[in-house]
Amino acid sequence: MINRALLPAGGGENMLHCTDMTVLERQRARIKWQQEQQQQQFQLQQQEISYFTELADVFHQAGFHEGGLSEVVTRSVKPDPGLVDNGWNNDHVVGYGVGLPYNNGLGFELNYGAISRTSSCPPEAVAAVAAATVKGSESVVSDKISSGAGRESSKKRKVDKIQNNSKVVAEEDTRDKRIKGCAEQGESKITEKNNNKNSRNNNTNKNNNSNKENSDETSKDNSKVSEVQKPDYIHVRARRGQATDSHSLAERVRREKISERMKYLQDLVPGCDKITGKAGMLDEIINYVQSLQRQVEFLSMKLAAANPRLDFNVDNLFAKEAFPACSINFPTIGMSSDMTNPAYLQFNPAQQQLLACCGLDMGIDPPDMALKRTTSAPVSIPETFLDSSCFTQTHPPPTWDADLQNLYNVAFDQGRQTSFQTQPFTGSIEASNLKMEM
Amino acid sequence: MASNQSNCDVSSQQEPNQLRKKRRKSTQTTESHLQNDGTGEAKNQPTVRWRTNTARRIYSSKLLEALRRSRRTTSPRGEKTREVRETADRVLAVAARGKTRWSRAILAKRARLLRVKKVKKPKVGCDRMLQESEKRKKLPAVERKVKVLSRLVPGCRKVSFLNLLEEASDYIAALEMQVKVMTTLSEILAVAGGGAGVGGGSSS
Repeated sequence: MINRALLPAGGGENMLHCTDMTVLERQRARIKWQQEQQQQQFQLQQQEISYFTELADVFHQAGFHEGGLSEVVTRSVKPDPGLVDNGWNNDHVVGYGVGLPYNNGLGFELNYGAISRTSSCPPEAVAAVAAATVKGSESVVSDKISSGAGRESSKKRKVDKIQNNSKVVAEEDTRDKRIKGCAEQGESKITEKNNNKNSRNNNTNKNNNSNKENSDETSKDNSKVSEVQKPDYIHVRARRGQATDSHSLAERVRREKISERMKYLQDLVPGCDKITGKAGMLDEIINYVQSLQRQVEFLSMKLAAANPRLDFNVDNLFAKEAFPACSINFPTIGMSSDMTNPAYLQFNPAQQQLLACCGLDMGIDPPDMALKRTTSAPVSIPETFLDSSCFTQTHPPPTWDADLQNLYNVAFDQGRQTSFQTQPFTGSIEASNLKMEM
Repeated sequence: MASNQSNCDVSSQQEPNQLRKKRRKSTQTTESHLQNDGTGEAKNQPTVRWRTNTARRIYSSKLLEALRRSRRTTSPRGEKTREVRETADRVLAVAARGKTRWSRAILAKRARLLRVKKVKKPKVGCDRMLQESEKRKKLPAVERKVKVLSRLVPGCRKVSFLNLLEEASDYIAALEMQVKVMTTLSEILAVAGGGAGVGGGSSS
């Protein structure tokens, strides 16, 4: 958070961009004077002082437009901390408390008045006070913000970080372009200061953020700094009427992430549209994963049985007539979705036809796997084969999955000839029995 | 391996083609829909990763090879199912390219097995856990289910809820693909075997 917060690049430069030229000219003069001093002494404090004086002048003389600031505020989240930084600094000038990161633009308006009041003071005194208070408060604030944001960041995914970085880079690049459009020296001053602040408040010791560099280089350094910075923090705004505590914000971020992933899982798992709440969803997810794993088990069994065919070309006793019979049946089977009893009933005629076709069929089972229910395997298997292949063409995957799931459960049931009367979704018991038999 | 493959039936080599033809229609719509997400993460979403045609093709070809290879090494009598399933899971994990926790866990399991035999320590812990759970009041329902889910997804026992959900979504997508591929594979094998058998029967 501090990394972003102390990118006043956005705030300061934008504000300058919106101000009158007279102000800029004055700033330029002052900046030249200050530059000379800096080149002599090269200290951060002086930069800060000059920065603050410029800001004070900006606020006071330019009659700063709310529109400009609000426009910046309403932009993407990244520049806001920059403004926040200005806000903080301004606050410290006046001696206000900190807590701005999550305020809306209204907070800044208050600051204007505050600054305008104080700008009448001699700039040096103001600057001295500002410089003195800023550092202490910044450190405090940085600790507070980083503690809250650290939690957020720790839970982040890399993509978010990359996005944040890219956003920051984009913002800084646009700012840098505007810098060049404006009085370059003035902007370069501020960018240098921003760089210094970044380097100071980052844990990365970026010595390339020195003040000696020109504006071109500083703009590049800005982007470099932002790119190379430690994975950063997602910015969250406290919504209206909600707690602005960093804890609650982090919790809200976490909750939102969880709900987002639950929604995604809802799309993935069939039949979860009507279920709300974590417990129900988790139940469905667990059931679905279990059924998928069971299907894999069943299929691996089938594959293990069919494997010899790969190499040995064992004679298959499947009658070819079995397939036309299946092909007649599966449209009716295919049309039923979310089935329990409908599929059940439709399977019956299919099964009977298949029984007629391949009565003595040993099916896929090789001789070494004794099959007690000879008709069960061929009956269930071709239906599932053709249904699945048909389904891939006719049904969208979610429905297919549901159907396949149902089909398998029903097929397990159908496989046992004695169990015609039982409910289709007997699940694991049937499957395990079938496996043992096969 | 090359010689083995050349000895295999022509029909088995035609399998990937048939698989491709069958799968094309269903996957097109999902891909296009998901890639228009606009989030920038569309390519990383599990459904996009696991429902593409290429993914299926890759998985099916790898699975075929692995299965043929496992056929070479004679398998124990009663454990063919387990072997096939483990092969399939391993190939699935390889197809995941190590980006997910569960895939790495599956591969690590196999590597660990090859090196050291599994120690039976967890059983003691399980007994104790069962006893304790009877005495203690039950955990909140959600937490219990989270535990169950974490046990289902390989390698996700001590993972935070958030990451567990993410892993679960990817795992579900991968499992779906696995099921589809294996269904079509087994079907094709049966058909191929059936065709060859009938052809042989009629010719003789």
